[in-house]
Amino acid sequence: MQIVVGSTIGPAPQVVALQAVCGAVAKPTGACAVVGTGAGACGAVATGDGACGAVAGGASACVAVVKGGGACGAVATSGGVCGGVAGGAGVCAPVVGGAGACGAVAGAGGICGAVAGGAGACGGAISGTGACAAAASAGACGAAACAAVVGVCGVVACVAFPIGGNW
Amino acid sequence: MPWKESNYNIHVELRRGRRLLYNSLSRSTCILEPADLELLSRATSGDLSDSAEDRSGLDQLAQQGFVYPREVDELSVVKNLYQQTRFNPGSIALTICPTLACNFGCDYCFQGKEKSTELMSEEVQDGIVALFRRSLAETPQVNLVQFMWYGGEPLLKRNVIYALSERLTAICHEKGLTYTASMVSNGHRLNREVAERMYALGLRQVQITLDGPQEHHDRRRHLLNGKGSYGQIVSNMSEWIDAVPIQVNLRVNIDERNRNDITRLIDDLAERGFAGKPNFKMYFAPVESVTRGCHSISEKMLKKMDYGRLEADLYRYGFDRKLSDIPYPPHFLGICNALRPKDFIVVPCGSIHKCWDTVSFADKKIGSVFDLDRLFGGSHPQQQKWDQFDPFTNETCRACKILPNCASFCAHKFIHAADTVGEATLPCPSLKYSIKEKLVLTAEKSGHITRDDYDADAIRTNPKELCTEEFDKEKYVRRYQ
Repeated sequence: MQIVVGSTIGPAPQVVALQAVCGAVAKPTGACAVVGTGAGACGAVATGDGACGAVAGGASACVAVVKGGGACGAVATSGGVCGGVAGGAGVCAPVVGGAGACGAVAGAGGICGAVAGGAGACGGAISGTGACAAAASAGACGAAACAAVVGVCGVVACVAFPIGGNW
Repeated sequence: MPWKESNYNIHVELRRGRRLLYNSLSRSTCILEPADLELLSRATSGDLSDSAEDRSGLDQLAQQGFVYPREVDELSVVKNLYQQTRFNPGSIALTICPTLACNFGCDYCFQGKEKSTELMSEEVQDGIVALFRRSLAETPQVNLVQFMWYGGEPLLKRNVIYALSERLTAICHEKGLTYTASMVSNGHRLNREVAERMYALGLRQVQITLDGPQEHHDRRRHLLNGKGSYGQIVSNMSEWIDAVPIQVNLRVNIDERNRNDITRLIDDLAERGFAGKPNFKMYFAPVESVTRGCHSISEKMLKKMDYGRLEADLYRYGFDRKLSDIPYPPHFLGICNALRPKDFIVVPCGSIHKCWDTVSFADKKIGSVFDLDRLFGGSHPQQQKWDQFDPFTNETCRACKILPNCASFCAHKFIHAADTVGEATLPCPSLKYSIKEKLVLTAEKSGHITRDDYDADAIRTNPKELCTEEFDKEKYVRRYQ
């Protein structure tokens, strides 16, 4: 499967009923997905080539790391801090739904996408030769490429003009 | 664990058994080889083995949002994301119309031909400042403020823009916020001197409209005295596009009359040196009879299908000439200022509106800068229509495969359904008629496929594969009357 544009909302979640602190570690080549439904911290690490996803439902910190060539996704649905790192040639996509900070790093030739859905700061970086896209729907946006609604995207912020009317 | 294919997957057939797969919720696009498609089929039928290869393939499909655990309610995931975006308290937008008058006489103007020439008084300007201060007090989490200058033609009243910019900037500095502004202008008075002054006052983006090559544009977007405006607008932009880093979003309004000649506009702009400018991008929009001010051009509107296909072709043409971006499907087109609870529009008399389409219609105001308690109390019946609008209550939208992209697209067409006619009645966006072409364009222009990988007829969007065309206009007319 060849990725043209990577997911901007992270992996399909597996819900784990933990309210506060939530962490999971997957062995090599395994899949790892955790969800913290409360306001706690949520972290997930896949040490091999597996997929790793973490979701914090509240205003907490959410970090996901893949050390190998797998996929890495992290989502903080509220105003938390969200960071995702893919150490190898993987895919890395973190999303902050609220007003938090959002950063993503793909260490090698992977794909890196970061989205801050609200007024947060959003940064995406890739050290290798892959693709890097970051979009902040209203906040600050810093990345190699930035795409937003109706082609309106600035280096500082992405603001969409209304679409109706015959201006 | 049992898996299901996402409701929001959109398949585009490629040659040699391959497929482009897009998911409107995750916004991922991937190319699936025949073996990947076979794995997808086995994953959703419960026939996966425990092999490392199958597990890895499933992980990839799940990571990109193409498969979900069967117990996950995807519609709830969409709704959750939608509400976080719509009700995000971190930003507010304030749109100001220094005037509703205009020096142009476009026949399709949604604000009608008889425009108010009322001046914005000092008292109203004081009221705008008070509104901004109150907005900040009501939403202490705000860290981003978007100001927009709108009209009429806002540059007819530059003194109001200059005065208010300085006052609003001072408040932003006082609160530790950054002041930036956008503007919708016809561009006729935006010469280098004005552009430099506006940039110094925080203007960072402007939308300017050209409706085709000169003969079309001058016939449609002429001055009130009938004189053409194309030459002046293009000359103005040429004066400052390299010197002033204001982003120009060049809009092209398209209907039956100019549909065949838009490529000549693109060619003309390329020849004039706008191609590849980092602060110059074109986008396209259909002319629509969306208010009672523009019913006279209802016969000129393009059919939605015709417009959608034309738009996809124009983006391809514009991208190849370095004048437009690839229109990759975004999230939640329908979340505009009208639906965000603390975003407002102020017109010269001090009335407050929610939607840019209603500013010329006094009966659609939601409040006044002179009664902020009532505004922030949210008790005005017109205001409640916007605040309570919910795209997830429409059965057609709920079942639509591009709901995460669209989110009912234009609430005005629901709330003021009585004012729309003809093709403008159906709220659906052009994306519904062109999404497959735009996905192929994305994959092709990013180098993942070539023209040899698809058959142009086979990748045509069939909107009925996404959702029905059913929209009960009368139901919404009754609900919101």
